[in-house]
Amino acid sequence: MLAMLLRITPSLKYGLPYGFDIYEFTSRILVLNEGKHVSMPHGPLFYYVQLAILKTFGYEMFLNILIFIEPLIFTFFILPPYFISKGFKTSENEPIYTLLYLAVTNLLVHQIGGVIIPEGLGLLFFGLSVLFMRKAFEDWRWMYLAMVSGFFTVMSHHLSVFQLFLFFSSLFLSYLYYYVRYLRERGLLRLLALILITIIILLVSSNYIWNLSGEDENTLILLFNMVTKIRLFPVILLAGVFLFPIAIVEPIRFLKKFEKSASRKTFILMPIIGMVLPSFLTMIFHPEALPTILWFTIPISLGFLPFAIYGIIQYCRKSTLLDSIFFMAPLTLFMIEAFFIISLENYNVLIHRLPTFVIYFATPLAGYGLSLFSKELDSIKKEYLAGMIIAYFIFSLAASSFPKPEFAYGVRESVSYSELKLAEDAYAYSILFNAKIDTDIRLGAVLMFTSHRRADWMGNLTSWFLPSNSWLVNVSVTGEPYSFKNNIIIMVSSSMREIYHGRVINLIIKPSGPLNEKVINYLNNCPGIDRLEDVQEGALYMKHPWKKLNQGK
Amino acid sequence: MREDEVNGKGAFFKKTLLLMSSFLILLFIAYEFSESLPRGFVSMKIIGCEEDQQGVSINLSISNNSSRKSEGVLFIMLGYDDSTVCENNTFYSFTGFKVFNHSVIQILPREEKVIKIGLMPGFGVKRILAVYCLNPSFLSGTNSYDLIVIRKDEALWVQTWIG
Repeated sequence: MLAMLLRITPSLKYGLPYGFDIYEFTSRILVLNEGKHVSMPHGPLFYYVQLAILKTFGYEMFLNILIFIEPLIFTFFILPPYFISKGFKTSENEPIYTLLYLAVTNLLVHQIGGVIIPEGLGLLFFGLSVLFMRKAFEDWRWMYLAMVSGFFTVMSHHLSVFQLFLFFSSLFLSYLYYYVRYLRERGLLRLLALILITIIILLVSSNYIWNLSGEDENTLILLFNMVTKIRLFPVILLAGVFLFPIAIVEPIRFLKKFEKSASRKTFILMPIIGMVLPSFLTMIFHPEALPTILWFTIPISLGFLPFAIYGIIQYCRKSTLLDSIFFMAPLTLFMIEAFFIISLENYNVLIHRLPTFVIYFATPLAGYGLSLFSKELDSIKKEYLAGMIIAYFIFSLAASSFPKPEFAYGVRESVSYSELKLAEDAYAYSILFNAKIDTDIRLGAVLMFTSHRRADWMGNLTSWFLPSNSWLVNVSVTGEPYSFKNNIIIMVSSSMREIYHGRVINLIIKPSGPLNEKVINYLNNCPGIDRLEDVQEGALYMKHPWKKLNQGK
Repeated sequence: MREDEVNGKGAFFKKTLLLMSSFLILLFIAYEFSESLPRGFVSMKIIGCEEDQQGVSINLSISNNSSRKSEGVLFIMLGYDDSTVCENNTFYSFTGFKVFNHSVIQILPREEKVIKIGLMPGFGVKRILAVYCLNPSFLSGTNSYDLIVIRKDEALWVQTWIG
């Protein structure tokens, strides 16, 4: 119930789909509904499911389902890790804590149900694949279901399938080493073969799906292109294949001898590593992102991370080596992936997507860590005090799910009715004046939605590596306005303004900034720039719009 | 340690944690709803503009996209060389404008009203500006080069440059 309430809150509050990516996705569905071709860069499943809903219920009902029903449905996508937790064979585990984390952790609330995006669907099938893989240790026939859900992950979301590929690869390498070094058991060999088949299915189906997507919009292809440009990559990969399983299996054997006092060290170290260190690094390298980093990392570092680490350590101590590898191998590879992606120029910003997968995967361990922590409290007073303190941490995890722009790098996620009208009218004006429309990614998505992707929108949505041709983006970066062409409509919203803690949203890998007062004064007072429309939250500007139109007449 | 003691361990913590965190989160959700802004809005746009020797004619459209009647004052202002529009996060200020005319406009819920404006601008006029003030009691006491300051949440304005 809590999970559903949290996820439906922005929809009920704003009456519109929350987030702006959903407008971009829905615009593609509207084009598909017209029988036209459009690329589906994440994978086709999300789009075709939505298309089926649209065709079945009609446009108005489809929108209502999208806004008010789908957040509730997506809430159920958090369940696979809960069932994994229920399968723990330790008496101290309380699966309710895992469910609590899944329900309230900010990134999970946001990405699974808070905003309706293909990633939510991808996470569901990612989670199911992990669950079925785990069940395959009891009965190998569950691997068939893991293959099926793996295929659906491919169909759903490009980054999810990449994470699933890493998950199965890490298990394959680690269990292969374990098989060769410690336990030559037929059941394990069969499992290895099935994991290998699953990896092949993922690769083959990914290749097929890539052909359906716009190449320059598919994250996997872009990652692949970037990575293959690194000369030493084959060497790194080969070294990793040999060293990784050793680095996983042997330390787990060491961890089994770890002292019980790990709890104190964990709960002191984790806030330092999870909060102090990122904050310090952010202040040095990207001080403008400090409010965002603090907003998200403080709750996670205090309320989630210590219990997850404690849970991992204790799980490795108390469970079998085979069982410990199941969690340690993928988590370690996800961490390596994160460091690697940070180092890739232009791709380091993908790092903001990875924590969701890591947290989703690690929630059973966090729940387990919290369970153990609660069992170690030896008086009612301590239980009360700890319960109250950790309740506030849990609250902070939930309350940081939908940040305001000043805590979200200037991004205002909600879209208003007035901005929808602005986009509709901008499109109408663009047809009247035969003009292009210059606006940021946020309003561009809304523009694509209202125009069914027909609007002539300037901007670099798909051109990741070119300099920006957007006047708004350029002036937001330099702070200096310059003259723009006569056939461009500038669509400005208060969400882009510096005085409202806003930002001109550009592709995440490219520079952008807020519109300062100098730029606004230029638009308001430069001779020749008409202010065509005002919707209270935004305005349209254009140079000499009527002159050309009247001359044409 | 007795089994019943082991089984009871952490039970009070669990109840405290679940109840307290649920309570705080429900409070948070209630706060979020209390912060909801009205969804209705008024908008204004120029839908036509012609300039010839007879003067300038502008067609304005004001839409009331809310469920309440809108009553406000429409100012038509002439801007000269030294006219400027400034804004901060709360106010618009219009300096160096001459108020050509003002009238009270009422717009019913979901209604769009088209207003035709025809005028002979006169020498030195560089731009024509229309301000719709949503506060019907706002009236500028003068039509000369005064500073006009209007709250942003009560004002809509559009402009066109002439000549």
